[in-house]
Amino acid sequence: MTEILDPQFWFFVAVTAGIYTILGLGLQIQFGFAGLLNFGHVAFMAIGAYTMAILVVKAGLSLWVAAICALVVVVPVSLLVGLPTLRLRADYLAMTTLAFAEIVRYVATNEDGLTGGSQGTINLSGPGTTASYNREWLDFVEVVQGWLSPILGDLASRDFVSMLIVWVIALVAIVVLQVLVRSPWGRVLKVIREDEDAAAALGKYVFRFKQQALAIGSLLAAVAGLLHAFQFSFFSPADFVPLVTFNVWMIVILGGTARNWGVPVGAVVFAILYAGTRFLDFAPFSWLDPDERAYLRMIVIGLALILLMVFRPQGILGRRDEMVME
Amino acid sequence: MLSVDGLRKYYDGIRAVDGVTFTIEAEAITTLIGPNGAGKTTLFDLISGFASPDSGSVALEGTDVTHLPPHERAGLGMIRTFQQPRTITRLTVRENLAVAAPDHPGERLAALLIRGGASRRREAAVAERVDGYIELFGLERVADDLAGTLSGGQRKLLEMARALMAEPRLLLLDEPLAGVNPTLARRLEELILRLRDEFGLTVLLIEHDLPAVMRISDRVIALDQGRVIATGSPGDVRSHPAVIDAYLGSDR
Amino acid sequence: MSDLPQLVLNGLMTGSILAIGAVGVTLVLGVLRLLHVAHGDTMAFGAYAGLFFTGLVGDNLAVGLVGAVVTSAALAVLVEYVLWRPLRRRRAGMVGLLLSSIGVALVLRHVLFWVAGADPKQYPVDLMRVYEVGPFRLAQSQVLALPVAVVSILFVGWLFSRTAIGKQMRALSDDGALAAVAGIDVNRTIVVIWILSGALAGLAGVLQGLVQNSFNPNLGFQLLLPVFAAVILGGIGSAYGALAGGLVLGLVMEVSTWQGFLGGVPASYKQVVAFAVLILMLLLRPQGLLGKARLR
Repeated sequence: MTEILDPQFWFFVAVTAGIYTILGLGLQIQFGFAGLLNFGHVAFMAIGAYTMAILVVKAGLSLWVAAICALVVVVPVSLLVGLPTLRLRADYLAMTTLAFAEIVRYVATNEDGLTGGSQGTINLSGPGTTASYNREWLDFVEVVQGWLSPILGDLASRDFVSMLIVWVIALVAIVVLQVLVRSPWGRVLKVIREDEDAAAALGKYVFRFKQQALAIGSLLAAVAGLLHAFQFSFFSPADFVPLVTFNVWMIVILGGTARNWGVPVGAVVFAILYAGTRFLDFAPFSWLDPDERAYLRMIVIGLALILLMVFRPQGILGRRDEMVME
Repeated sequence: MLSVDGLRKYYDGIRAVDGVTFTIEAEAITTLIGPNGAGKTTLFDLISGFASPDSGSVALEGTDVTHLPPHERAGLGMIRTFQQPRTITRLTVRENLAVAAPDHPGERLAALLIRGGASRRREAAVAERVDGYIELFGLERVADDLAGTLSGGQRKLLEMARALMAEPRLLLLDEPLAGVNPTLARRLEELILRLRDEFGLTVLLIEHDLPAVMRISDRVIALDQGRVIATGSPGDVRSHPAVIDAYLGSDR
Repeated sequence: MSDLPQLVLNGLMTGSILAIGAVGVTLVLGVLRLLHVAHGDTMAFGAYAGLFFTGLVGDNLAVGLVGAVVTSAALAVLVEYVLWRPLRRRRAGMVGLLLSSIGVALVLRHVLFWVAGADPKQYPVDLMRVYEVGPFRLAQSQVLALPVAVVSILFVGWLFSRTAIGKQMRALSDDGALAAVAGIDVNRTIVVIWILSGALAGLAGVLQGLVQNSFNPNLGFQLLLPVFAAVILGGIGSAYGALAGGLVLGLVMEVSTWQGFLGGVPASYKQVVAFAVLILMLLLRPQGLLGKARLR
């Protein structure tokens, strides 16, 4: 129970909330602003993380170079995925993107030689060895810790530094997205979201705008994937299950669709819910074992989604008249 | 200005448009009339690219546009409105108008990020034009309201203003006077005449209000069951036996 | 195990389960415009309910089957009254319904995890018993499941072609507005659709649980995308299409592993075959193999 008072725990939760914020911002630009029902968001998180790790371990690149390469790779992949799928109607797009994400996960699970298989990145150099990609990140974090500890003392832990970095990136992303959304480009997106044919009748090339929204969102997902990889020093295909995509959806809906500042709100609420259930050490929750509490968490999330849809589909910050769910 | 040749469109065995051929003169107002189900809106869809013909062709100022997507036809200056105004409810009136401006560098992602200045300058120019149209159409009081809060009549005005913002050369108006009170309808008629006289626009419209059609049209094309049954001056078409038949027949 | 006739048989087994599952999804999608993500977890629910009822009466599989079918149908109807009807009243759009379905799926799956636990369960069949019939080797579970599947498929076919309620469902699926005008009680037909969808999902779940030897609550999600693929193959809204699509897909999934096809697809990629079919169908022919191209 004392854990609830330990700031280090909350820094760790804050890192997760920050990563989910970045994921959420990516989905927000795709769905909240362009109206795309992307249910394969986690695929680009995986592609970003795996590309970086594979380049570091197998090609010997520096982590920073590998990360840049990963981000560069994601853009053409998202354009390729978008090419045939963006003209599909909403629920077909949902199914296609979901199937695509599952294919990515299956490949990651089965192609041991490429991705380390179901055992994850530890296996990247082959069985019997322990591969690691994260040395340079951890060194960098130590350096930053060195700068901060004269000022903050014990508080400047690894998780604290990670939290700072993740949230700086998240805030930069929000600011950039706000600029984009308020620009003429963003204005066209809003038209497309509500009425594609009206946009076409006014001379807007709808497909290109959707592609751009998809690419930006996927780039953000890849950034989140990289940060996840850095934070945990290890990942496996199990980190990229459809549940992650559904969590991100919940966060975006919770915060309010088409409200960029709603995403961190939704992510923080979600992270607190998620982590907070750990502390329900009193009856009746203490009657449950940890597995059962995990199930309860998911049940609560599912119920929250349902209740949101029924009672407040515009989310916490959204306005009824700006709702995207037609 | 616009020529249509042998257009055919069948839906599930129904011949919505069955071999339609005509040409539209530049800087003139041409009206399509015909009973319900004559194929007028389908024809509009074919001309503007929202449906693709089973056979036949569409040419705009000599350029074959038969298979061009709608946004490219709009880029060539062919702007259409819809019977039910498709104003964007979640944008304000100003934003609805601003978004219609063509060739805005701020709408291109690369240009936006690299040369923000060009976008800002265009925004200022667009804002001026928007103000002009707000005044012309009398929308000052609702200029900053969400389009979703507008009345039906105001939406029709917005729809037409927006079409003008898109800098058309050929304007396709789908029943611009429908569902509008008589005073507003008169204003819209005057506006359409001004479009031809002051702006030099070519207008093709669909309309049911026959007295209005008589007043403003240079030429009338009558359709029935997907075919052209008469073309000519308003007076000629109005007294054409086939046209009288079609309208009387539809009153069964 | 890798010879063609055996794979064809396995394909028919997989296919008939997909077919039965797909009918429910296609009806709900066609009539209610709801992509019912929770259908998979309803199947999982059926598998567990079947197990429960089987054990209740001394390992009687017939009782288990009936119990599963009835409770799954009841569950679907309950959710209709508690969730779908209120959402429809509030004019929830496609997206709101979809997200709610995801919520239901999450709740259902994790309730199953909680109540039944994560460790694999199995039906009381003899895993070692193998029957040799001509070129085929059948496990006991398949011997039990296959006839049930065949009878169910025939029953569904009969239901839609001969009975009034079946015709009403088809009418509603083809054109909801028209059907309502023609005097069909829309709400009542919707309840019937949920009963059928839930019942078939429960049935498919039991069969899958039988055939899969051991299962956990993730059984549902694993079947979900292949079921969607079957629905698209057969054309959304068509019950016959769903049956045909399921059978075809099952065959394709199993037969694709045949080594005669340039070494064949590795067995662990069978699901990916279904995903690929889903994607290709949606890209190239979303109206299904037999459907007419509808205006989007």
